[in-house]
Amino acid sequence: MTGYEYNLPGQPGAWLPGQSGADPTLALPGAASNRLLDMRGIVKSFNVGAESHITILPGVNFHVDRGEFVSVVGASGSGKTTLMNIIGLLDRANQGSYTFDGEDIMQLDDDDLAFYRSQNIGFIFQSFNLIGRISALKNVEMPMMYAGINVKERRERAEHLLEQMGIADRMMHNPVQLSGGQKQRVAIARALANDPPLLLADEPTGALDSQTGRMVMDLFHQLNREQNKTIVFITHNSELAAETTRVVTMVDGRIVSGEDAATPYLGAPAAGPVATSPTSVLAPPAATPQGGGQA
Amino acid sequence: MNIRESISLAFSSLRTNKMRSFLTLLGIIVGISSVIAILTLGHALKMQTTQSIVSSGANDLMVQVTERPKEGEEDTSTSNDPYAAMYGGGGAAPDEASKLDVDDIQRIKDAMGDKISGVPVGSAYGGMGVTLYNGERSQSASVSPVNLDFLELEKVNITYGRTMTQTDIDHRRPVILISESQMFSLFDSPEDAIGGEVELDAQGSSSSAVVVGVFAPNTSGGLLLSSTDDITYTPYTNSGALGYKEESWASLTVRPAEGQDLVQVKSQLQAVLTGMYRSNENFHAEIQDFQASTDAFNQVLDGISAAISAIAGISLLVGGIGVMNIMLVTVTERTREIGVRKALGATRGAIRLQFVIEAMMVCLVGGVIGVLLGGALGIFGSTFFSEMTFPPLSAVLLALGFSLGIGLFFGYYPANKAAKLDPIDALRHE
Repeated sequence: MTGYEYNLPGQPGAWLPGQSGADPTLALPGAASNRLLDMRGIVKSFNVGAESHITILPGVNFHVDRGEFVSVVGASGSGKTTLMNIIGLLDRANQGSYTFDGEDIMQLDDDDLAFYRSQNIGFIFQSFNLIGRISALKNVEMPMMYAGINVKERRERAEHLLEQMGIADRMMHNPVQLSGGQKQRVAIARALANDPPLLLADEPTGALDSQTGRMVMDLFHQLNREQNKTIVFITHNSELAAETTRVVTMVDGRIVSGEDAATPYLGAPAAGPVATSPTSVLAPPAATPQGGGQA
Repeated sequence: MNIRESISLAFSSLRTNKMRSFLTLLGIIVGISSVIAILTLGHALKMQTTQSIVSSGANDLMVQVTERPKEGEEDTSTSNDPYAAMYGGGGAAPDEASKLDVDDIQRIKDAMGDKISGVPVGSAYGGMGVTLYNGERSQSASVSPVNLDFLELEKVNITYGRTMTQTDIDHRRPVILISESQMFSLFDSPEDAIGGEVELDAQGSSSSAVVVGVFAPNTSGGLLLSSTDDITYTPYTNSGALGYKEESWASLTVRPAEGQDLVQVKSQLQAVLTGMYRSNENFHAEIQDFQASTDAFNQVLDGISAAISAIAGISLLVGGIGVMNIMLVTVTERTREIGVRKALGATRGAIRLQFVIEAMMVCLVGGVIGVLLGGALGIFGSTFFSEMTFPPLSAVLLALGFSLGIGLFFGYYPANKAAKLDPIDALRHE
């Protein structure tokens, strides 16, 4: 993996500071003492108690170490979006344990989770999910606003991040005036706003052409390598997944490869049938190639 | 997430949907501006009326000669209604000797000193209906026999000739003061009028009088007082010429001097009157004032003003429902944005605050525009019957506070709906 050295076209190596100071010894996968998140026996069912009861995750073990760049691959309906929602603290598991950075997440209430999310997880969505009526700069400032950072500081940091992403000249534009690649770079700047240890990217290249997608992948590699960001990357694209430090494959709600023997599959839960249909309610959002982000 | 942030977000979404925002605002604007306009007009009316009541003697004390209550009988003369006494209520009519005459007036004035500004005799509303003749030209008029205190206190404004003098009164001179409109219908010019002789025809009895002065009509009467255009003043000592005697009175008006404590003046005057009637077995003099009536009148005016405002306020309710409706649409439209915000760390409280403040801002902007519009309307309207009156500050604050309250009330439900959205569902929302 040390062979990666991606540069943006037209901006050779100039858009991330400290690039030359990259430490290749960082981010060795599998170091248990260096564990960022750890999930055990995660069960997620929907419509519990109703006839339409469906279990998406029948008991998943999943872990991510600091500095890892983990990709999660699987077909539509394999449960990877549900897994991502739980990793991202957007959803709660019905059963199981989840510790993030040593903290037991299952104990937090909704508002605590919201704050915890803003501090620890940066989301990058397939359809960018930028807010259309405010500027790129304001979009980047938003997570800092919810984290309670003062106006001056967050503006400075947002400007700095947009500079890093090479789109300083577009920061006053609204997302509608930006191209797909620019939007995703704004979204990545936004994900980095509170300097979270984990970036959670859900099909971040899905709505982009292959060249722009390549650029975004390079950016992730660079963030992983140079800023030691831990990245969980959810994708359909096995070629892109192969570039990451570890590939976790999901089939029908189970992780079939990529998790080591130390975190074995604990077996199906006692209650409820396991989802077998790949066309479940949890199919990922349809791709919007022209770019969404308009809420 | 602070309030300033929410306010700027609210304005950004107001700008995004200009037409929709305007239509939503319209409901609030109409409501607030009509409330403000009504309150301003009500305020103008009240100020105007209070002023004219005061200038026409709302503080006047009325001295009423009434029959003494007999032993064991209830005193009926202490009725609090001055009008009943004025129009002949309250026992038998006093005999001539018991009435108050010029000497009594002088005694009261001597005793009260500068506590009172005068004892006006006469009526600003006119007196006996007569027809004035100058040769072929005639003009109907209402003759009011007056004393000098009356002319002074009613501020009868002489524009040509002279006013009445003590000599006119002492010598029972048949002189009159006529209004400008009477002058123009009876004479060709002010020069002709002054010194001119007119016939006063009062249903059979006829007498002649000399015009010594012309007065300008009273314009400050407001809505309450009719114009003094048709009134003619003559010395009360000349009333005999009109066929009735007006030199002693069963009731008199005493006007307290400005700034005097009404209660104190009243008790002092009562003492004077009690002294004057000590030896009279059958009659005594009571004092009544109009304070209660003035208060009641003001209360009625306030009540009417409040009632009309409340009716206008119904349109505010409709406006508020419009705001709620549009906020519900906004929440649905921005479901995905809400999901994103939640994913990025917004708590329920932060989302709720954002939407409540947005609703409140819509209402506040509508309120400000409404206050400006309604204020302009009220200021303009007030010039028709009074001097220019600005909306009372209390009404402006009330209106703005009320519009914020409407925003809070009607914005809370949509905001709460937004706050309770599940982030995953919201993010998946198309």
